[in-house]
Amino acid sequence: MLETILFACFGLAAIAGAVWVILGKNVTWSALGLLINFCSLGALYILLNAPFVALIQFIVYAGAIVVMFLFVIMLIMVRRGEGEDRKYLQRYAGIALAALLVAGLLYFGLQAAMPQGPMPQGDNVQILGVALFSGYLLPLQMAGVLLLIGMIAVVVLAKKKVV
Amino acid sequence: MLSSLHYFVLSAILFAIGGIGVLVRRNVIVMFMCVEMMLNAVNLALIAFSRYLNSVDGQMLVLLVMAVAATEVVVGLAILVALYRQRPTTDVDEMNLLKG
Amino acid sequence: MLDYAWLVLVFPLVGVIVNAFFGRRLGKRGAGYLASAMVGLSFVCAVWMFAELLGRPETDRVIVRPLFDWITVGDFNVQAKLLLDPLSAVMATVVSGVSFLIHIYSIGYMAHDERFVRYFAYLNLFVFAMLTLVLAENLLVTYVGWEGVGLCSYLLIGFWFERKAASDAGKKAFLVNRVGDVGFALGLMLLFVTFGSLSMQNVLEQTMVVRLTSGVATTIALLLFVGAVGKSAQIPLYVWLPDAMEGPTPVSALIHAATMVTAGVYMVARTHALFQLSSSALTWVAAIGGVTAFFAATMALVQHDLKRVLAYSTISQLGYMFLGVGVGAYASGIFHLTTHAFFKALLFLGAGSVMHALAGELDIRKMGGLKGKIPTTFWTFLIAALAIVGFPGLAGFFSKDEILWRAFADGKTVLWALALLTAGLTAFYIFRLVFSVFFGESRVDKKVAAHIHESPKVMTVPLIILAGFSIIAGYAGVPKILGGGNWIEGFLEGSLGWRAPEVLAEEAAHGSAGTEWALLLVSVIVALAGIGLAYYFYVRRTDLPGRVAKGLNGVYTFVYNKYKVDEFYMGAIVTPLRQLGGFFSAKVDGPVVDGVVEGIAALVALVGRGLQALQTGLARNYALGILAGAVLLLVYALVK
Repeated sequence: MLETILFACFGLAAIAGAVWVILGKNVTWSALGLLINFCSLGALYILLNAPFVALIQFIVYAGAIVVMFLFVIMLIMVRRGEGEDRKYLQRYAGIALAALLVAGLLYFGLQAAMPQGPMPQGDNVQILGVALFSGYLLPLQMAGVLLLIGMIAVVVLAKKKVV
Repeated sequence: MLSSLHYFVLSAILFAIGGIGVLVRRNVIVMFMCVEMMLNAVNLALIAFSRYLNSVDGQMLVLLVMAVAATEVVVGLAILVALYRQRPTTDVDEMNLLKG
Repeated sequence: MLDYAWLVLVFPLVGVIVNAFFGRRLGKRGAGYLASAMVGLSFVCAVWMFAELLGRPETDRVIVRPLFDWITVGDFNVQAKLLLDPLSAVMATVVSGVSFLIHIYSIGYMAHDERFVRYFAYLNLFVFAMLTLVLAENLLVTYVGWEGVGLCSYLLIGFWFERKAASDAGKKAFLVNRVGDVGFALGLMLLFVTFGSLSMQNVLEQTMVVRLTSGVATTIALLLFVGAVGKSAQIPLYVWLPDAMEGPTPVSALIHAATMVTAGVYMVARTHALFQLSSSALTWVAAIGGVTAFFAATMALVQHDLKRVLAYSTISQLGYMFLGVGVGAYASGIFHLTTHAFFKALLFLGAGSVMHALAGELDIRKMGGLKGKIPTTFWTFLIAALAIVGFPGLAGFFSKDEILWRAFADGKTVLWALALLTAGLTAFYIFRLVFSVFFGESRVDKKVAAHIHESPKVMTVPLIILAGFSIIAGYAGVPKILGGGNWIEGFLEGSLGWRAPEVLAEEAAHGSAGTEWALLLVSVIVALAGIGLAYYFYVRRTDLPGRVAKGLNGVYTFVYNKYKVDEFYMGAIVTPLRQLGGFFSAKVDGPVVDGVVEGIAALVALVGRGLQALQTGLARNYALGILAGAVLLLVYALVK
């Protein structure tokens, strides 16, 4: 019971945040919406017995990524909002497509047998740790390399060209 | 009783909202945020299935997705900054040099 | 040497390649000497070959030396081989020898031409092609040589291509030859279909065994003869030869007097086995030869251009040769070919020498009185003239009379009479030349007259050598009635002796020795009469020619205009073809072909423009596309 209520709350919060992102009048409000979205999702993860992932979500997403967005927003200092968008085809086609997508997924979800089961037991962190360093070792290392490359790329890209 | 269907529906809705955002908004930063939202929606679905199928693979995938997403955000924003230096606009419609 | 006979072909080929690629570095002297030396070496080899053949017993004189397998496609096998027998030996020797002398002459004649090196490359190429033609065992290889000489003829006639007349003449020669070549090619095809091979040996063996219907034999023979008509300038394909005089004079001497034009006669002699099987084909050959001889002689009577007279004379003499082979006297025809090569080349080279002295003057009305001023040229020219009219003792006498006698003996009295009349005309027009150019008052233009000089040694020595041959060459074929053994006919029997069994019986001597003597005397009288008449007209009473011309005005103009044959061809054949071509070009090629091609291009452009609308450059549109694709996949998966 509690679970359902919590799910409903955080779910709605996530959706609200999402809507705020796309409807925000200026960028900073969109960033705020994003933050709400991420945090709600983090809470949902806890609900789903993935505390470690939830923690990572908070630290990385809500903590680092949103902050970075805010940094960039400040760097770029967008003042004026977007002008009038006259590309109607694009907009309505986009919305229609998204609706179609949801409909399709819903159809699929209702059709198929969605798994149902009790909450798994055991120490989540330990299980994750073991899996990470045995079965998922290669992806782990690759992720490390990827992060390294990312760092270098960013430094190169964002440097001001010395004329 | 909650089943993965609920989480799945939520994930679908969030994904769709993110999709709309990418297609409708013209500000590059907002577009980027919407892309992140879409990624998160998928993460949600993965975690939900991981829990209901009692498998750790979902969470592993999510961790990796997060790592990649973080990198991608970083690099993407760096590109945005570089782009902004070229042409001081955040309107994606004005970045149309590929036209033709 | 017989095993190395291919050297005969290789030397001129080397000359071509070296001159073509390195000629500039060799300089004029080097290129000229190299080319001449190559031909000289060929000549040496040819003579050596000749000597070796002589050394063999009479029955063992047909030798085949293979070179390489050329074409092997299913049933069609062509092997390039050299056929070395008396006929090819004679031809090779004559060709290489006369070519050698003319090469040397050209060093002097073309000394001031800037494309000197190219000229010698072409000349060497010609010698190579001609020798290929003559030495080939397989008729397809002969055809290669045939085409090769045609090509060189075109290149050399149009050598001074800046002059429209020259380049036009080159084209005309090539195209008219082509008409003949079509016949030749058809003949080859029919030959292959009938005998399954184009090798002379094979064909010869088979003709001894296979009983051919005379229809097939006639057709093959006539088709091959069509080729000969084109190449050797007989009626109706002679029109290119007078125009070919636009080329340099040594070229006229070599190609259009001594060698290329004789290829037709050679070819008929070589394939005589086929002709022997069809008496109607032989009759055609003789008839065309005889009529052409007469016809051309009439045109030579009135031309003013020195070289043109000689050109018509060549056509006429070729007619004699065909008359000879047409009555079965193959050896006589070839014999006349040999002697003609010497004195005709000499006549042309002498004409070149005269032109050299007179700074290029060609019109005999503007010459005269040159005998004292250019003596060597005069004496050699005179010897050649006497030879061609058949003056007793000189080369032409023996060869020409042999043909006349054989024509009469074969029962072709009409042709004999025509040929006799032609002999008279020949004497007249040749001595018309001699008297107009060398005797009498000088009608030379004053400015030119001041520079008259004899040609350099490089040019006069070949003249002298050729004059020598013009005198002695005849003695190779002294007929029996005069005490000789007709050596050349015996020698050539090895190649030209094939007779169908039923014909052999008829070959027994026709007519008596007495008739032969009588005919001999008649032809000598006719020749002398011709000379005398020419003397009267052109030395004694020089007003006569003009008065006769005025008196017979209509006839004279008609003959002078070459019987308007060229105009007829132009109107009946050339112009309609051109119009047809023009029609197709304008109405078919333009709208249809170009339309299709351009239409396709326009279509492609249209599609491109349509697709261009997809490339807006906006990231959002592309994102829409991606999403649309994803949704479509989803729908598709769900529907399945």
